[in-house]
Amino acid sequence: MAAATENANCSTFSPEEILSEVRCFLRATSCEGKLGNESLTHSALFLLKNLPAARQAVLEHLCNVFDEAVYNHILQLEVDNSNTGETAAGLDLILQDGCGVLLNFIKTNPAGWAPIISSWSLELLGQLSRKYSEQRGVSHDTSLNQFLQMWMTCKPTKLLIEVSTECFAAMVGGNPDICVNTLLEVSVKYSPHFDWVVAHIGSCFPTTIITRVLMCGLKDFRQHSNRGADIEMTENKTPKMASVVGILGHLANKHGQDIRNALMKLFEDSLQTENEAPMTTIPFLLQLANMSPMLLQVLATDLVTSLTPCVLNTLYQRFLCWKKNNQQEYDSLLSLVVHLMMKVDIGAHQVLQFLLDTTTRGEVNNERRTYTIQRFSSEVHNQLLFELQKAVFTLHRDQQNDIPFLTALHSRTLELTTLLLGSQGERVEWLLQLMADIALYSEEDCAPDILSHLLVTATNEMQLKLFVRLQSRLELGYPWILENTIQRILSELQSSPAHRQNKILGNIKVLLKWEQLCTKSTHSRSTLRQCITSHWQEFTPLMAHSDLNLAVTTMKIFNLISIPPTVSTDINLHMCGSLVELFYRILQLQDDRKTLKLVYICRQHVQRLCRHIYAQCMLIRFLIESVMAEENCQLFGGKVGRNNQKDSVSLYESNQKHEQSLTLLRSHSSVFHAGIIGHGLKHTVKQNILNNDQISRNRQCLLELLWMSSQEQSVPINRDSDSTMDIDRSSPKTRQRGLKMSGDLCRMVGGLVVELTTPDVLYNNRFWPEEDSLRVTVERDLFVWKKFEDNPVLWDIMEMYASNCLVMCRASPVLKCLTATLMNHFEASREKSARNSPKHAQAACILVKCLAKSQLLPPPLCYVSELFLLATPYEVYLLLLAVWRYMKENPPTEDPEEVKRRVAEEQHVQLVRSIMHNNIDKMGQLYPRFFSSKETNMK
Amino acid sequence: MTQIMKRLQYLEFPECSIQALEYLVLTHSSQPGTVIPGFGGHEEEISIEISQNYILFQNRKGKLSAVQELNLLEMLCHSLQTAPEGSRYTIFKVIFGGKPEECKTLLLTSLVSMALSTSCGAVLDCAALWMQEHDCYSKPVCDLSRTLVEDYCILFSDVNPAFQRLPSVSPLFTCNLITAVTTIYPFRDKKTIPPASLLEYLTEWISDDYCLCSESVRLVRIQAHFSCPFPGLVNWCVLGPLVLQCENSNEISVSENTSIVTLSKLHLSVLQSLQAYRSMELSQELFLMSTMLVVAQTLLGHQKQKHPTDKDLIHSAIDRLGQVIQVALETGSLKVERGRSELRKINKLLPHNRLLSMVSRKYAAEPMDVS
Repeated sequence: MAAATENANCSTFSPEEILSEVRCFLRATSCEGKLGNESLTHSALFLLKNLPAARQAVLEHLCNVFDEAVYNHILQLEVDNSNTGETAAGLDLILQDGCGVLLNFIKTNPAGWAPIISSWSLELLGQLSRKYSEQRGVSHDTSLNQFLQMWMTCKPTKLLIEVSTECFAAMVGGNPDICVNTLLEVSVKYSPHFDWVVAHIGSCFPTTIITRVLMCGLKDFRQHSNRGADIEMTENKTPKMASVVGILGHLANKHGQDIRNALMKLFEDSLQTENEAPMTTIPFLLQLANMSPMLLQVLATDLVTSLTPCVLNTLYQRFLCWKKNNQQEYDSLLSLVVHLMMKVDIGAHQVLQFLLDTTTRGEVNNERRTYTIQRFSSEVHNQLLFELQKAVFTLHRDQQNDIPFLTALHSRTLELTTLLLGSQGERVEWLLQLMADIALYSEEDCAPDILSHLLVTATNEMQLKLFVRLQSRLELGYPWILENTIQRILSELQSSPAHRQNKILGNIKVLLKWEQLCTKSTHSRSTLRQCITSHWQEFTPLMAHSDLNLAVTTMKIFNLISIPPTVSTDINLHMCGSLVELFYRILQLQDDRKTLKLVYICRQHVQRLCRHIYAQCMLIRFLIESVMAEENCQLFGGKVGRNNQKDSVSLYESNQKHEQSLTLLRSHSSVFHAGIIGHGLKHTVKQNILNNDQISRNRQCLLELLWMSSQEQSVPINRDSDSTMDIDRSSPKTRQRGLKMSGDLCRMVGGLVVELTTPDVLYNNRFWPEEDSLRVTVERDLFVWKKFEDNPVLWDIMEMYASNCLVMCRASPVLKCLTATLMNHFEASREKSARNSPKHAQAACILVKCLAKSQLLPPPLCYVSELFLLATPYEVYLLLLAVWRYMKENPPTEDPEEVKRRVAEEQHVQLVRSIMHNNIDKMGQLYPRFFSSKETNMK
Repeated sequence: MTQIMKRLQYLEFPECSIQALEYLVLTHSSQPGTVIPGFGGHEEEISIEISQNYILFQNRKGKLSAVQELNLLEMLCHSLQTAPEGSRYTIFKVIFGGKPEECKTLLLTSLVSMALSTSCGAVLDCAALWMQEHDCYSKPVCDLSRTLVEDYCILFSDVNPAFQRLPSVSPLFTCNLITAVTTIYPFRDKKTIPPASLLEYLTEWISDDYCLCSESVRLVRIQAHFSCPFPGLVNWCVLGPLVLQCENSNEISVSENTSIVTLSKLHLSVLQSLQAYRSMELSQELFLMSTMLVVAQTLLGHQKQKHPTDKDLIHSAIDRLGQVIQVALETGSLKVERGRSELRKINKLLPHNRLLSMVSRKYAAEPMDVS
C-alpha cells in the first residue's frame, strides 16, 4: 500500500530517472529467482506509474510474481512445512502493494484502467487456474464450490479476483460490454478451470452479467451467423456460445429467475425492434437452448407461453422475407426446433399443447393465427413425430439415446389419452402417433396403461377405433401388449363402480364384435378375442352382477369368445348359477321385445355352456329349482306367500289351543285347509300380478331354454371359435328331430322333479301300488298336487319331457301322486260333468298325455284323455283307475325297448270300452280310434 | 551468409539484439561517400534481414515477453540516441521502414511511447519523419497516436511533464501528432470529442509556440507532400463548442465549460499560428476552401438540431469560421483563386454573419472587379 500512496505526485520524475529505473528493472528481472526483491517491485510499480510503454512488462512481471505466490501457496498446502512462510509473506506484501496500485488506478480513472486491468487479471486468473489445476491433478468431477473454496483460500488468487471484481464494479455502470466480452473470451480459453471465476464474478453482478453475457453472445452469434449460412455449424464457429451457456449455467442455481427474465426480455426486445433482430435472436436463443438443458427448460415453459397468436403473426411477418432468401438456413432452423422439442423435459406438455393449439384455428384476444402459421405448425409437428419415431425405433440399437420429450410426456399419458379421445381430425393422427412413440419409448407398463385407459374411457366407436389402431402399432414393440392390457383392464374392472364396468364391458364387446365381423381382413394384430378367451374366467363374477346390463354384456362377451371345452366344475357351477339367475331377472322385464332379445342371448350362451353333460345337468337343475323359488314362481303364474303364514304359526301351539277350547275332530281340513282357527280367513294369496301374456311369454322362454339345455350335444366340441351364428341355424333342425337327451340327463330330470315336488323319499319308487293303498298316501298326494297347482309351469315342464320315457319313469312317483289325487277328486266329485272341474280335468289330460307320450301307456289307454271332457267325474275316475291298474301291472321301466313291446290287455281296456259304450252318443266318433284296430286284430 | 548473420544465429535474446543494433549503427554511420555505389544494395538487404530477425523477431516462433520487449525498447532508444545524427533515420528506416506491418507498428508504438517518457528526441524525430512519410491521416499513424493519447492523456489524469514538454523535445513529432490526433478526434459529434486533457496539452503547445503547427510544412523542401494540423484544428475551434453543448443542452458540466474556454484559447492560438506561418514565408497552401465548406455544412447540421435559443453559439461559431477564413486568406495559407465558388456557397449556406459576408464580398468578388 505504501507504493500506492505516493501516487499523488508520481509524474514529477525526469527522463533520466525513469530511464535508470527501467535499467534497474531490466537488470533485476534478468537475474532469475529474485522476484521477491523489494527494489524490483519498487521499480516495477514506479514504471507502471510513469512509463506507459513499460505497462505490459510490469504486468507481466506481476504475473510471474502471482504465479510464484500461488505456487508457494500450493506447495505449502501439499508439503505443509513453514519454510516457505517467510518468502510467501514477502510475496504477499508485494502483491498487496501491486494490487493497491492497480486498485488505485481503477479508482482514479475507471474508464481508462478497468478494461486493461480486468483483461489482465482475468487472463492471469485463467492461466493460474489452468496451470495449477492441471498440476495438482484436480479431477474433473471436483465441484465448482470446491474449486471456489480452494482458490478463495489462496491469497494471491483472492487478491486477483478482488481486483477483477473491482474492475467489473467500475465498468458495470458505463461499459459493461467490454468486460463481459473479455470474461467470455477468457472463459472460452480456459474453461473449465476458469469456471469458478465466472461463478464468483457472476454472483457479484448477477443481473448485469446475465443480460450482458446474453447480449455479447448474441452479438457474437450475429457476427458469425452473418458470415456463415449454416446454423448448425455455429456451435463450432462461436466458441463464446459455450461459455455463455457455461456462465448462465453457473448462475442458474441462485439466479434462475433473472436468467428467465433476461431471456424473455431478449426475445421481447427482438420483437419490438423493426429490423431483422428476430432473425438472429431466435436462432440464438434456440442455439443456447440446444446447448443447455436449463435454458431449454426456460424456453419451453416461458417462451412457449408468450407465443400468443399475436406474437406469432408478428414473427411470421418478420420471417417471411428471410425465409425466401435463406431456404437452407430455414431448414436447419426447423430441424433445430424439432431437435430441441425432443430434448424438452419439463415443459414438454406445454410445448405439445402449444403445437396442438397453433395448428387449430384458435382465437385469443381477437388475434387469429393465420393459415400459414397453422400450416407451419403442422409441418413442425409432422417432422417432430417423424424424428421421434425414428429415434424410438433406433433407441434400442443405440442404447444411450435419450428422448427427454417422451420421458416427460410419459408421466402424462393419461392426460394425453384423454386429449386423444377428445380430439378430432389431424390431431388424432398426431396424438396417436405420439402415444405410440411414448409407449414404445417407455417401459413396458406404459403401453398397457395407455391402451387400457383408452378402452376404459372410450365412449364411442371412433374412440374405440383408436384403441385398435394404437394396439396394432404398439404390437410392433410389445408383442404381448394386449395380454398386459387385458390384465390391467381386469383389475380396473374389479375396482370400478358399476357404470364404469358397464362401459368397459360394452367397449370390449364392441371390439369383439368387430373382430368377429372382419376375421378375414388383412389387418394384422392379435385379437382381443384370443386374449379375453384366456382370461374368460375372470369375467364370470360379472355375470352375477346386480346390474342387469352389465350382466347381459358379460354374457354377450362370453358369446363372442370361445369358452374352452373343459371347464372346471366350480367355474361351471358358477356360470350356470349366474346364467340362471340372469335369465330369471330377464324374465322379470316387462318389455317383451327386450326380453326376447335377451333371452335369445341367454340361449346362445346356454348353447356354448352345455358342452358337457354335467354342465347340462347343473343348468337344468338350477333352472327347474329356481322355477319353484319364491321370487321366480310368480313369473310363471305360480302362487306365493303360502309359506309365510306357516312360518309365523306353530302348529303345536295352535293345536294345544284347540285342545283347551274345543274338542273338534282333528281332521286335515280343520288345521290345514280352512286356515287356522283363530286367525280368521286364510289370506287370499296375491296372485297373477303379471298378466297372462307375460306369463305365457315367460313359460315359453323357460321351456325353450330348457329344451336347449337338455338337447344332447351332437355337434363336435371344437367348433367353438368359428361362428356363433350357427347356433341359430342349427337349433330348428334339432327341434325338428325332437328332444334328444342323454340318459343321465333324463334320470337327473326325472329325479329332480320328484325331488322337488314330493315331501319325502317314502314311496318314491317307480311302482304303482294297489288302488286301495291310495287312502294311505292322501296327504302326500295332495302335497304333490299343491306343488303343481302352485307352479303350473311344472305341468309344462312335464309335458316337455313327456316324450322321454326315461324321465317319466323316474318321475313316476310324481305321476302316481298326481293320478291318485285326481282319482280321489273325481271319485268324490258330485259334478255332472268332469268339464265342470276344469283344472283337474286338464291336469288329468296332461297326465295321461305324459304317460302316453312316453309310451308308458299303450293305445288305446293312451287316448283316454280325449274322453275326460266328455265323461262324468266318476267315469273319469274309472278311466284313471284303468290307467292305474295298467300302470300297476306294467310299472314304468327305463328300458325303451320293453316299453315298445307293451300292449294293453283286454282287462285294462274293458272298462274303457264299457264307458264308451255307455256314452256312445257322445263318444261314438272316438270309438274307432280306440278299438278299430284292436277289433280287426281280434278278428 | 555473412559473418554477422552466422554470429547472430547462435546468440540468445538480449545479446543478439545488441549485436544486431551495433551492426546496424556501424554500417549506417559510415559517411555516405565511403560506400561504393552498387554495393550498398547488398548491405541494405543484410541490414533489413538482420532487423527482421533480431529486432522485430518476425521469424521467431515465440514472441518476446513484455519484459524482453522493454529491454529491446531501451536498447533501441539508446542506440538511436547515440547514433550519429545523420544516419539515425536511415537506421530507423531499416528497422521500421517499408510496409507498415503489425509487428513493426506495435514495436514502434511502444518505442515512441517510451521515447516520449524518456524525452528521447532522436527517436521522436525519426518517428515524426515516419509519420510524415506515411501521411498523418493513415491508419498506422492514427493507431500510434491513439495509443499515445490513451497512454498519456486517458490513463493518467495528472499532467505528464514528459508529454507536456514534447514540443521542446521534438517539434516536428508534436506537429504530426497534432495532425493525427485531430484526425482521430475530428470533434464532429459526441463520439469524436477528444479527451479534455489532450485538448489542454494541445492548446498549451500551440499557444507556447506559434510555429509548431507549421513544422511539418517546413519540411516541404525535403518531402513533397505534407500534412499540417490546421484543418483539423479549425474543426475543433469552430465545431468544438457546438458539439460540447449540443449533446447535453440543458446544463454544461464544469469540465466541458473549461473545455470551451480552452477551445477559444486554441482558436486564438490557431489564428496567431497562421499569422506566424506568413512570417515563415513558406507560401504553401495549408487549406482548401472545400475543407471550410465541409466545416460550414457540419455547422449547419448542428444548427438544425439546436434549440433556437442557442443562436449566440451558432453565431460565434460562424464568427470563428469567418475569422479563420479571413486570416488564412490574408496569410496566404488559403488561396482564394481556387475556392471562390465555395466561399460564396459558405456565405449563402450559413445564417447571415457580418464578418463572413464582408470576407466573402471582399474575396469572392475581387476577380470580377478586375475583369
